Amino acid sequence: MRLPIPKLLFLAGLRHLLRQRSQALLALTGVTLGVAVVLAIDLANQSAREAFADSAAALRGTATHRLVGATGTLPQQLYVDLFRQPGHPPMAPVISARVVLDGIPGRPQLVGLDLFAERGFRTTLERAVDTGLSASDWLTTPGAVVVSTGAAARLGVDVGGTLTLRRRGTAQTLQVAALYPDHRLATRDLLIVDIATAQAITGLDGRLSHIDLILDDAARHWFDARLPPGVSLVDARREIDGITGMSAAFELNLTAMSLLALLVGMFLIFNAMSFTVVQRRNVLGRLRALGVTASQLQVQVLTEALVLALLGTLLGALLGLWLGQGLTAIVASTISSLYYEVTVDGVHIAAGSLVKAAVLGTGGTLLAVLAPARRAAATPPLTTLSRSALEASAARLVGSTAAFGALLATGGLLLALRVPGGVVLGFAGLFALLLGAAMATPQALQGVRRLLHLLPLPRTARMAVRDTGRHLSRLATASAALMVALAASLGVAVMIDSMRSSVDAWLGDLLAADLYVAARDDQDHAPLPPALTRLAAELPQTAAISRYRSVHVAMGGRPLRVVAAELAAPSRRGFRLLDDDGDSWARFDDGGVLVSEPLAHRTGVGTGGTLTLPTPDGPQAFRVAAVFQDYASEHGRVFMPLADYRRLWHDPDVDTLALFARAGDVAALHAAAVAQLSEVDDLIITAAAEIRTESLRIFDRTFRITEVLRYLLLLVAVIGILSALMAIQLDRRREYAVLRALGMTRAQISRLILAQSGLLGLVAGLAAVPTGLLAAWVLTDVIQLRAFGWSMRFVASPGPLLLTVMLGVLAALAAGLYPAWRSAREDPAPQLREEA
Amino acid sequence: MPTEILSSSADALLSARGLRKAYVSGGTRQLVLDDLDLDLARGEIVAVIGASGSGKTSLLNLLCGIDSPDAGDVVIDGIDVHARREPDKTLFRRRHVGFVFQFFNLIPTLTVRENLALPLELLGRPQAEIAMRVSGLLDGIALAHIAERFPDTLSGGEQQRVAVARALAHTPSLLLADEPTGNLDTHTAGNVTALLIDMTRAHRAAMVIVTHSPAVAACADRQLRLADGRLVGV
Amino acid sequence: MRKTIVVVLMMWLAACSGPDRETPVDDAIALRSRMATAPDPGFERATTPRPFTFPRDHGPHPTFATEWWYLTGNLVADDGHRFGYQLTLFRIGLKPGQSVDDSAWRTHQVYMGHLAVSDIDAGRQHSAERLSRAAVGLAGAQAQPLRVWLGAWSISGGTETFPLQVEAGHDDIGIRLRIGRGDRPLVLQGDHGLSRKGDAAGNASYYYSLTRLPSDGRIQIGGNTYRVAGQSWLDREWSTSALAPDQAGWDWFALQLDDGRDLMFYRMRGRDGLAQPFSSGTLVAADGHATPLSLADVDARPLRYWQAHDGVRYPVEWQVKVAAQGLDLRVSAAFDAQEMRHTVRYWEGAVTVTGSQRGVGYLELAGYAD
Repeated sequence: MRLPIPKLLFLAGLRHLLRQRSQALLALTGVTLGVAVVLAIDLANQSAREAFADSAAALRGTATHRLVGATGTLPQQLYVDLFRQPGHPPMAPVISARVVLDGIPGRPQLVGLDLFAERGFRTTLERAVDTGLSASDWLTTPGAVVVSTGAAARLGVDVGGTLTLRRRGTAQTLQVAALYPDHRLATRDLLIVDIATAQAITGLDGRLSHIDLILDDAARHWFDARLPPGVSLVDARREIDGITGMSAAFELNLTAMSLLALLVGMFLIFNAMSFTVVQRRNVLGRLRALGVTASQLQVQVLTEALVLALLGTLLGALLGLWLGQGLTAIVASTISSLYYEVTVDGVHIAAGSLVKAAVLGTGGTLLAVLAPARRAAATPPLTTLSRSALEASAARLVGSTAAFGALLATGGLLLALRVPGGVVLGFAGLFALLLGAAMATPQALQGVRRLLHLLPLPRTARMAVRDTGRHLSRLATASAALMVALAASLGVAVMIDSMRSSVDAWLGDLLAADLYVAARDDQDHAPLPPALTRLAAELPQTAAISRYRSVHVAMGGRPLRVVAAELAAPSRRGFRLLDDDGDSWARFDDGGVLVSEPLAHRTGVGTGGTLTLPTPDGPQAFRVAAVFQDYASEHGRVFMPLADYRRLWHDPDVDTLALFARAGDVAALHAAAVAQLSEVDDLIITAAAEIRTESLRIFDRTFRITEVLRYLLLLVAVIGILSALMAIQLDRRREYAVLRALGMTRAQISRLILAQSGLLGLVAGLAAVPTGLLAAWVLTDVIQLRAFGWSMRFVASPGPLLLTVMLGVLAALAAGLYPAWRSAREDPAPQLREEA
Repeated sequence: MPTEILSSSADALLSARGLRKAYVSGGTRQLVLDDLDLDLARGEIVAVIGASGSGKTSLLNLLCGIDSPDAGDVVIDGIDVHARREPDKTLFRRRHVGFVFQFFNLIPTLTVRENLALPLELLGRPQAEIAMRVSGLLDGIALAHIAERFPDTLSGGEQQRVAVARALAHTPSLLLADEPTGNLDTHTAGNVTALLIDMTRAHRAAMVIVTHSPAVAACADRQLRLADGRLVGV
Repeated sequence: MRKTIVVVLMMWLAACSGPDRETPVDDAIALRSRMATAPDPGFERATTPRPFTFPRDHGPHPTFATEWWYLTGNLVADDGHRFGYQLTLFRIGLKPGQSVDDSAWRTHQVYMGHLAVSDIDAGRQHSAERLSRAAVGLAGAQAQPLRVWLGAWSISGGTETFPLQVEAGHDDIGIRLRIGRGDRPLVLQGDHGLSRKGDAAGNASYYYSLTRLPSDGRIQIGGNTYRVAGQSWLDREWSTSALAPDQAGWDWFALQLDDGRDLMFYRMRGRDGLAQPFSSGTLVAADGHATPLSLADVDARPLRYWQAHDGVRYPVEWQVKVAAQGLDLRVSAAFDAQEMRHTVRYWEGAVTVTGSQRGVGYLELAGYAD
């Protein structure tokens, strides 16, 4: 490889980095951690996405389309009729249901397939047959099941073993007939059974869940005029993969966090490389005198940075792969609890992720090092500038940098808040805000320093304060890095707090009733026995009752929940209607629908508008009575009067009852309901408070990953500040030696360093509070709204704010411990003898 | 006396006219060089002596283009140094000027051999030529045995000998030496001075040597004193 | 007769391969070893001659493991365009007895269908395969009125059974035929309908044929529909038997000669490539008189082989001599590329007869692709 600068120049720079290991390590740490976090999160996202895609592919196979029924199932006679028509395209009937299986968390999916129809669709059964499944036994043995090797391992069963599956209180035994090999990642735990077995287990007599199709353009029209009302042809890819859209916003949040980590990492690089340039100013001056040009010096520094970047990226990639394993598990569990069941057995290492991390690592490093490189280039030949003169010029820059930073932060804020656009624009604004605030941090350090100067402080503290001013150029960067980490962490914390409090309040309102009754079934929203409503209403303890029926429909390729409801007055009060004009409920009773905020946000259909929903009798237009605040689903929900639903869907069932206790005696109602209603069917009877607690528990679990990332971010910053302090202390060994020689004790030296470090942390913590709050504002009011359609109350409690300042100080103190110990231990004599 | 200083021959290498330089320090402006003239013939060695802070180092910096004068110009080998732009000044230095400093100013992260090779490599000379030239220089300063060592493992005298060799490595026509013995004991200083003078003469280079030491100054062809911003003969 | 086909299918169902294999060869070999095991003793076996009762015996016999309705025929369009066709519906009993009654989808009966149309003038054969369980109405068979169906493929009759309505189609090919009874009597093959295929007791089938059935209707290929007429041949066979380990396959001839005689002969082929003693056949005179033929009566030898692109060779031209009947026939493929490559791989196609008599017919070559 040909170097862009003379080899000896490159060698000299590289050897400098090797000699000044602490700086090199600091820079390396910055790149490594930044790359590692970005890669780990990317891998986690990627793995979760892959796992989902795998299970979607396993489920969907090569199907391009699907026939689905308006109420969730289809008559199997439709399949038979189509099968017996000449020229039908490839079709595969499917019966699927969620089941409860001991040993598998969540609710695995039972999928009933017809071996003969599967040809050309899914390879799962075919592969099982390859591994020794007897098709004859498969077809004739009730309860024969094929599971993935991964699921079998988790369950501890092998071919011939049994699985116990529960449904509505009764147990069913399945016998493992074969295993299908997991490829790469375990897919969602699919229990594959013959369609006869599936029908027997689910009790879907005479019905199918859907029919998979492989259609080309010509075949698409074959179904025209062949489908009865209530059956629609949908795009399978969109139908099944549509759910991945659910996690896109979630992924975006994680990715943003990882980019923040990279930003902090870039600060570390900037800090370290600036430092090596300042430290080398004499050597650089000599080189200039010898005839090295300014641009050669710039290239020299960039080349050094490139070496660090490549090494750091490599280390970061390794660390990121390791970290990715842990994060993948967390992300998978979050997605499972929030979106869909997904089991990730391994990290999917995508070349794309590695490339992205490498580009970000090297690109970020070079970007961070541009300024120091320019500074190196600006070194005059045979520089005679003293350290103090250098700091003086750095101090002069503090003001203008801060002014620019303030401008950048304001611009970012305006960009996020005022410019309409997507989530990406919101994040761009957020980054500008953080970067701008970081640039203003040195000024804050100056300000705090001057302020402290006025206070009557102990001597060591005064010295620390004064001394900080003398080393501003280096300390400010470390402080800024810590500030960015703290602010980002605070912003996310406040956002989560805001969300949590909004969700909590919403749940409180929504769960207006005292008791909720649903069927204990492997299917969500399984119908309740018709007699139950009357029985519940007749309980003497029941004051009022609301009835619900919930179905999924597909709209614009995304799933949408339609909830038909007959609402008692107190239930209605639980809805938070946006821009309510007082007539909303009148319009609802008049056949209007209530549309959830995310749906309104996505479709742009508001109060008074028209929403078209697919019904068994074809598309039907509904007037929007009102928009209500809803965090239940980011896809959206639609409430409609139960009577209208029954008329349009021809479905007389209800699946949930909400009971209001007479005279507020919930305990009595609960006891009566358990005693009287449970005889009718296997029911889940839950008090509202329990549902609320459980919902919040799920919420907290969802954001566990964000918590982990916050700490990672802080860790990056702490390591950064530690390395910065280390570098500075090493650079000042001689200075400390002089102080020791002048009579300062070891303890005093330690205190000096710790005080200085604490000051940095304090400034970072203080600056992080306003920055973090602004970031939280952008996150809550802009990004969540744009990504999910959720508007939230901004809630900033003093706890996190205080914690941020404390974290800043503590992190900085922790980072100062080792340098303090190390510097105090240093024997002053050799340092004094050494030549300048 | 001025006529003597200005005595120029057909073999003139350097001609400085009307150099003026003031520095601002602690709020007051201090005129260091005031309408200074200097001429130097090819191969001529001139010693400049003067009190501390009399502007000797400033003069050297102006002569080679490291610093710019407030007024006046410097012509070396027919080239008007300060009429050139910064990168050209650097390239000019790279080709025509060699330096010896009080604090040796070797590159600490390069070995002796590499330090000697650096000016040549900057000029883009072929590796074979560089290797030969560096070997010759090492023999010349009798330090071939420490060629692979780093500067911080050498004594002051050894470092300065390397610095002398480095200054002459690319056969500059002008050598600028700033207190080359200022940091050495008397004995070593004598050795280094002898080496510096001998090698400069051997390379037929001209040299401006700034020094406090009368012994060093005595080795020069001419001695000039910098006082009140001007050069006067001794 | 078409035992290998069913045997290979059974193997797939029994254990060890998937559909759409690139080469069923490995699977077929794997099958061989499995064939040594006896069939499920729960199935009835063909051990002694039995009385045949019609129309009941046109319908299914689910107490036996396998059964088929095998239609072939040479048809000519109004414009002289010549076609061959094959429609076979196989019934496979996975297990004897009734299935568990847990779901309407549960059954022990599986149907496989093969459809082929040979466009003789264009020299192109089109074929398709279907598979389904015989449940919820997807596939099945009944005797009165006769109805055998697999999705949209069906052979059905009225109260008198004949004429049969035959319908099948796939992608851009289709047949829709009316098959009359004709005047040729029904032929019980072998020993009064008991056709032995091997040494072991029960390695035999019940087998009858209707060798000359006047047929007309439509054949569709691509966008073209042809009105066609000609003669069909129906073979019906049911059994619970397996190939002996030393049997490789067979060559089966169904020839309709211009002088009114029909010749059926199957040549059981050993792994050594030689004809085995269980080979047999029947010559049906124009008046319907059937003469059984043994291996000694018939001298059949291949004259020319056709090679599929992957190297599998089929003997597509034969010399068939029945000296006692004065027949010296040259049987040649109407065109060579009439291979069936589906779950089971074999060659089945229209043939032209020349020599001492002219005629048309169908030739089946099984067990060559192993």
